[in-house]
Amino acid sequence: MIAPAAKPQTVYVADDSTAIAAGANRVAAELSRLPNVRVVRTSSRGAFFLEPMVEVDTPQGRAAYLNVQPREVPGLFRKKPVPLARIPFLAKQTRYTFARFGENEPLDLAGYGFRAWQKAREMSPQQILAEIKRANLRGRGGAAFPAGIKWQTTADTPTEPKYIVANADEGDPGTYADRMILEGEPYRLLEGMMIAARAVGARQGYIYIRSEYPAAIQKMRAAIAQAREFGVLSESQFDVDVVVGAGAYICGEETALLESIEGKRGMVRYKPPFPAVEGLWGKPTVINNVITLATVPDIILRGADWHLSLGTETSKGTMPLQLAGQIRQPGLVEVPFGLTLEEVIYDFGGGLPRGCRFKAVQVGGPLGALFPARLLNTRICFDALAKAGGILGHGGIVVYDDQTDMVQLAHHFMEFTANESCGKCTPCRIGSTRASELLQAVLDGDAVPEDIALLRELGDTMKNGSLCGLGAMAPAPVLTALEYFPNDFGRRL
Amino acid sequence: MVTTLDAVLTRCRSSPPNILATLQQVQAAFGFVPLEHVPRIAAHLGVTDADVRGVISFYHDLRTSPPGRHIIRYCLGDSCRAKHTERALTALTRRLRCDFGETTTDGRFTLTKVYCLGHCALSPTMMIGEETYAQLTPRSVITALQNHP
Amino acid sequence: MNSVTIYLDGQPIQATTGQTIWQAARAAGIEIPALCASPNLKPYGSCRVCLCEIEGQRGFPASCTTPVRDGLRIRTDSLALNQLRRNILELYLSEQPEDALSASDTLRTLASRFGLQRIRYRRPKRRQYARDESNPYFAFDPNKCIACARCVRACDEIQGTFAITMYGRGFHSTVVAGNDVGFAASHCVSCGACVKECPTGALYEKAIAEFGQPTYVTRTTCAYCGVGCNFDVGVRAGRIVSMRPVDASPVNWGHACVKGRFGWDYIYSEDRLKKPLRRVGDRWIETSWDEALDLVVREFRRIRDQYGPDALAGISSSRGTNEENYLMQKFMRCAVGTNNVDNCARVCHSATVSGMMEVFGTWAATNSLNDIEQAKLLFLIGANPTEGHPVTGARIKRAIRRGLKLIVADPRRIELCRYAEVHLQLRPGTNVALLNGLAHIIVREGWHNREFIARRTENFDAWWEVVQQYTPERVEAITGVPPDRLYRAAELYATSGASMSAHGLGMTEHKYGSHGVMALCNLALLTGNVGRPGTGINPLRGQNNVQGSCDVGSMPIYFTAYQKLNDPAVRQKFLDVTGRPMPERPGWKIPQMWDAALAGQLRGLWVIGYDVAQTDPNLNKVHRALRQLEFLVVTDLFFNETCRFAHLVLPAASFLEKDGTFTNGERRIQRVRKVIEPMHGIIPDGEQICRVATGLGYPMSYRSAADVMEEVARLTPPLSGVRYENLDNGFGLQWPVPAVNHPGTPVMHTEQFTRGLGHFAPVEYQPPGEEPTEEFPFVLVTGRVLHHYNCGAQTRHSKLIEFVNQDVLEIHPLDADELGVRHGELVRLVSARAAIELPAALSERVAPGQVFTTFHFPDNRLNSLLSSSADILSSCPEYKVVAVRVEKISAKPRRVADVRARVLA
Ligand SMILES: Nc1nc2c(c(=O)[nH]1)N[C@H]1C(S)=C(S)[C@@H](COP(=O)(O)OP(=O)(O)OC[C@H]3O[C@@H](n4cnc5c(=O)[nH]c(N)nc54)[C@H](O)[C@@H]3O)O[C@H]1N2
Ligand SMILES: Nc1nc2c(c(=O)[nH]1)N[C@H]1C(S)=C(S)[C@@H](COP(=O)(O)OP(=O)(O)OC[C@H]3O[C@@H](n4cnc5c(=O)[nH]c(N)nc54)[C@H](O)[C@@H]3O)O[C@H]1N2
Ligand SMILES: Cc1cc2nc3c(=O)[nH]c(=O)nc-3n(C[C@H](O)[C@H](O)[C@H](O)COP(=O)(O)O)c2cc1C
Ligand code: SF4
Ligand code: SF4
Ligand code: SF4
Ligand code: SF4
Ligand code: SF4
Ligand code: FES
Ligand code: FES
Ligand SMILES: [Mo]
Repeated sequence: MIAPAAKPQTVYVADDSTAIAAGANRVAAELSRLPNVRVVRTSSRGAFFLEPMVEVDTPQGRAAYLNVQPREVPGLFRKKPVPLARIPFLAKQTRYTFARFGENEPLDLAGYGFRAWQKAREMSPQQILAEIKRANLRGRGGAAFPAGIKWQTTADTPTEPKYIVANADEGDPGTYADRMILEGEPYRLLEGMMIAARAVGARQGYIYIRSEYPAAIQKMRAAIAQAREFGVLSESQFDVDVVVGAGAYICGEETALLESIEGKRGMVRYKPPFPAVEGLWGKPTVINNVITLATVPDIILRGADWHLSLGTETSKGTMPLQLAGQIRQPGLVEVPFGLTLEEVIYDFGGGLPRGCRFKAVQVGGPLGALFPARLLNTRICFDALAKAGGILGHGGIVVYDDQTDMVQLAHHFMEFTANESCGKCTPCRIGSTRASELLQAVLDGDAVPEDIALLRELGDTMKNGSLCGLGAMAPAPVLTALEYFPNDFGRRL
Repeated sequence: MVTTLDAVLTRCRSSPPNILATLQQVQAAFGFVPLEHVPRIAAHLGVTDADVRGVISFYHDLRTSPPGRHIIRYCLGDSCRAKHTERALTALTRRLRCDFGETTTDGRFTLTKVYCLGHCALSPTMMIGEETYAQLTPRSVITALQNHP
Repeated sequence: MNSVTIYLDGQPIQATTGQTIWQAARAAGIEIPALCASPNLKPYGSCRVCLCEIEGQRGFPASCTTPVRDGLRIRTDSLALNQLRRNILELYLSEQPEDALSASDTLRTLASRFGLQRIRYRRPKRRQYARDESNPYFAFDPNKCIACARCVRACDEIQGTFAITMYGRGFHSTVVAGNDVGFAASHCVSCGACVKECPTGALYEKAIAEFGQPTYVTRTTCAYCGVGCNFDVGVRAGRIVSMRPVDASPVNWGHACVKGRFGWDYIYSEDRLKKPLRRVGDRWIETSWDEALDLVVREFRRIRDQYGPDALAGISSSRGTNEENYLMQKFMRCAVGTNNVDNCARVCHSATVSGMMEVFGTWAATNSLNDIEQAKLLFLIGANPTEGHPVTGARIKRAIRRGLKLIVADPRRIELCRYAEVHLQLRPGTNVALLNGLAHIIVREGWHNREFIARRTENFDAWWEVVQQYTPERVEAITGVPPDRLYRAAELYATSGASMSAHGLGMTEHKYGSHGVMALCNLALLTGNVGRPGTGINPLRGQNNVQGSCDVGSMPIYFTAYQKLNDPAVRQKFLDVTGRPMPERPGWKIPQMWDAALAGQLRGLWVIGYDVAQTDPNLNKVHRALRQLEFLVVTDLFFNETCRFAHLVLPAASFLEKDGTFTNGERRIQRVRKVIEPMHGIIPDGEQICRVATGLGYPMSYRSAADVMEEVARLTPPLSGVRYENLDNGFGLQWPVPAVNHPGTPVMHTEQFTRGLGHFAPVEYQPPGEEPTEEFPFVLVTGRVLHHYNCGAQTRHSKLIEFVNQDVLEIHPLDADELGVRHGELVRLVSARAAIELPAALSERVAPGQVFTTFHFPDNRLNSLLSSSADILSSCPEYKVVAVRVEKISAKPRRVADVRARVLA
């Protein structure tokens, strides 16, 4: 349609690190060699199965060239781009938090605008708290605790100073929504933190980012530097620093994370006292997941009623689900709570790749239950998943095909726990190793039925006795594997 | 080496002292945390040797021996597992002739495992240095090595 | 603190908000099984053995971390809970060594209590670590460790040394010391807190491992320093196997230091004196006790008959009990007929006594150690408690973590400087100027307490005449402390609301030591920081019983409790009780004894438990004096330096072999109990005295130490209410105890001072006895190290010698550099009196121009360098300032003991 070099042309290529892994940088480099072409690097829409995408403006809105290879670039504009509205994966989503993804330049401060902050600035702290509470914003990091109540607690605790901590440890394998925010719209997180800070009276914030996310660390730091330079932070009387993790899954758990920010061993603290009352250096600390904080600006801008109008009875708003594993269309799907697993996996994810048969889906990371096909009608909502014996966690959805050996998988999860256990409490410290040994015995064909009974009992001990969620939830995938896929075990005994 | 440690340490003053952040800086400068420097690091921070040693032993990222030229962070996360990453991994370890936590005899690569790099949409994945490789196959994993002499 | 009610298995229990369920239960006498919880530590929540069920709550919260709330209904015992516990214990045992004997007893006992029959895991990975036996007194078997971190928390929270850490994570969690170097080479100070907290025996005492668990315990008081820690001495088959600090002790609250906890092993040293030794020519021959005591009687009688009673003197041991000290002075006064009796307090805190007498009218700490909890600020001047009074040192560190502010005034950078708001690094010997300078600032800034001054003090104006001369600039010129630091310290001290001072020998062992103490007391008057909890003037008294030996009259110019020799009423009272008129001529203080001996006036001397030939200053003179004596008898545990000059040496019984009382530095009288019979048939010190007195025609005999105390009480007003029955209350008694059943006096001078009004004592700064010259450019300061004690006779005969085996000269690296001296190299130290050799240890703990060493090893004859210069009022020797020069001797460096090198770092 548009011939090369006909008239100046702006194209958009994602600057997201997954897109880059798919080749976005190489495509962008080729594009910038073309005369008259201006390459703008944006955030990614999260339709990673289509990356590298090269988007162009059309009168009908954006259209994109999909899965572009560098060698295709010279002839690219001879082809017809696909209007995004015609890509169901994207069109069917309900995007708020990720609304600008694919369009904004991540570090464009002026373009971001901080409109929610401008509104919040005019609100009293108590008004902000009231709004967040009324919106029933539940934490997106896993525990689903109402953010408003947490904030109110910190606001009500007289100790000074107070802190805001963004949990960007995103430890659950199979999740990447936080990473996308950090890389794609870092100001959104910053704005959420600024609003939280105003609400509770904090002057300092920290963003704890896992070391596995070098690009996110860099982007976030650059965004903070800009926000400082343009006085955004000083105007809000709030400052933020990035703290980089050091490869410890447990440091996603909020109290271990605080220890880690303090520079210590990331050992879990008992609760209460909750961080909201005694957190960082013993001071009241709001700690929220990146997505939770990134949802705040919309609640302030659009009002609590908007948030309440989306989702289910108990889970309000939207949730960015992250599709991964053996799925045809992996990527980020922001939808209101309440869809079924099946809808998400098949309508958005396109089901499994050709030649693969569904075996199980795990929701909520390595501590989440493994669901068989017959539970695919479970709704994606904090409580429905809990009722089904699982968790929503951070919204990771990993699909496994029938080549997957459930014993091996269960063993993998226990090894993970054994590897990541902080070692503070006995059920997890020793139990995860014992469970992993028992599963190894099954794998080796060495196990007897009593071992399976012992494994179940050990699962209970871990669940009931552990100090934190890691030990307590680690048995879930193993126990659900036992329950739903008994044959994988049975044939080895 | 000694003066460099001082240079690193002077950048790491904070109150209260931050052991992990300091160790990360030391590792950034030296590639690892030389254990013989623990007393100096501790003295600088006003903490004890034990405090520092305890932190070193906790974090998977902190190394106490020099790594190879390139660090491979190979993902064993759930999504990569679901995509049967063990196939590419087998090819990789066979080629490198080393296991997780080890360095190739020529000192070129150190192989480490991670649980998720956040690129699960394109599993299986790994990073070599700061470069990410996605949708790994037994073949692509080997060609990736060639980019890192 | 609110009181709430909780229901434990249905039973209502009163609890306080802030308590955890486990703590509340424990306070009510109910034990919820627990491994990682400890009454001495903050909650942690590791073992999960203490889980409970709470009505209306899901899951199984840990009782040791869950705070109480009013009306909580808790189950601690249910089928589900016990199954959980059983399974957890199974996990624990599954990682312990397979060999049943090697697994922890605690775990096995608990496991069988919860019905664990066998471990179902078939081939579990177990703990496989090497044992750390590097510490001489305790060892660590990581295979028995359950990673509960009690040891680490004890080291952090109780001792404040942070020497050990949890190491690794997950299944591989264990404990390591320092940079994984083993306990002995780490910063560990061997206080034993970790060992005591360890629930599994992973950390264990070697003596118990060798001799077995004690079968019974006897409570007693430590006989090293003036802190006066309480211990339970564990005995098995007649042998002492351990000394464990007492949790409920109001002194040490379950804590201890290496000497008290472990350094008692000298009592089993082969080198201990066992039989009396008589010198015949150059040889020592064993004699029987009868013969030996008879010899003392004969010689004392001969000298008394020949030269009069004043030709005899006694030096009583401030290491011994109150009762022994009382007996010794009674013996000298009644049986011999002279006031020539003194004790080691002379060379220690005598200046404190004369200084405090002048201002307050008493001679002891005004407050209690427990007051540290109420103080907002501690002014530590001339004391180094983390080595000299380690349990107090640890306590100060604890208080600092809780918010106590600290000022340190010390020429050296002692350990506590790390935690100080201000370090006033003054030149040695300039305390008076420093303290006057602080007072000056306080008045100028209007921070003084006018109301207190008006109501409770006198002589303010005369005092201000003097103090107004001490401008910050002048003070800086004298002390070297910059004005901004002076201001900061003055403000902190004056405005904290509750400022407590603690001082040590850096105050007293000076030519104007008494003046320094007065200047310190003036500060307290000026700011009203005395007479209330959390304030006051608190000398950290040195030896276990220096306080007591003075209180009971082992002093040449006072009777008990500093009653005057010439007070007729007092004299009559003593006559009534002892049946002898008291001698009138004031006796000789120890330094005067040496002059008297050299002048031929002193002919016979009995030294009990005091190594004057090593620890007194100007040794050459002391040695000459000792050689002059016609008869010297020494009673001691070991053949110390003084014994070399003796004619007769009598073995002494240690504190573990006799009954009595010690009075600690906060005036607390505490019981010392006989744990084992005196070894080798030794006749205890007190009985030796009684038998010689009797031989001299003044029968002395007592059925028990309690009887002696009753006699002391009759003669000593502040002790008049002291009875042994009342000392068994678990807390001892802090004098004044004016009446039987009086609870004692933790804080003195609350309403008025002993002398009535507090007396501002104007004191001018005067330079020390010696100042550096071109010939002797360095100032030598002497003091102590943690692992040894004074003359070292005891500590050198214990395994403490494995930590530190020599005295070293601490010298600043800049000075060392200039002299071309390397770490460990032998150097010569020369004063106007003598020259000695010591290995150098480079250390930034000392300021340039100053050197520091300790006096624990006799071979280098350190004190021969010192002059006889002493406090002009109390004769307390000027141990803290000697002008010296350091000379390089070309010799190979030798190894400086490891611990020492670390302490210096
Ligand atoms: N481990 C151990 N403990 C002991 C003893 C022991 O030998 N070993 N001995 C016991 C005895 S008997 C006593 S008396 C106590 C003594 O205990 P401390 O009173 O603490 O005595 P020192 O350590 O001798 O000296 C205390 C400090 O005074 C400082 N100093 C020196 N000159 C000055 C000065 O002019 N001004 C000021 N402000 N400070 C100065 C020194 O640098 C030193 O740090 O310890 C008792 N406890
Ligand atoms: N250079 C220098 N010299 C100093 C000091 C200094 O700071 N610097 N400090 C001075 C001070 S403060 C002091 S207190 C002195 C201490 O000096 P000393 O009193 O000489 O030393 P200690 O080691 O306390 O004990 C002396 C003797 O008492 C014995 N002993 C212990 N218990 C008993 C007992 O129950 N009965 C008997 N009969 N004997 C017992 C010990 O075996 C030892 O031989 O040193 C002083 N000397
Ligand atoms: C083992 C474990 C790992 C966790 N990892 C993360 C994480 O990586 N990111 C996160 O946001 N929350 C994580 N959490 C949850 C946090 O503890 C905490 O609930 C959350 O940060 C609170 O924020 P939210 O209320 O906004 O979700 C983890 C929890 C557990 C028990
Ligand atoms: S649990 Fe089911 S019914 Fe309840 S809110 Fe969730 S989806 Fe709706
Ligand atoms: S459950 Fe595991 S990770 Fe959590 S506190 Fe216990 S040992 Fe640590
Ligand atoms: S003995 Fe004392 S100092 Fe040493 S490790 Fe144990 S608690 Fe710490
Ligand atoms: S050594 Fe003892 S106290 Fe320390 S962690 Fe192990 S079991 Fe607990
Ligand atoms: S601090 Fe003093 S009294 Fe306490 S144990 Fe140590 S030496 Fe004994
Ligand atoms: S699971 Fe491998 S990248 Fe996320
Ligand atoms: S005693 Fe409560 S968890 Fe150990
Ligand atoms: Mo002393």
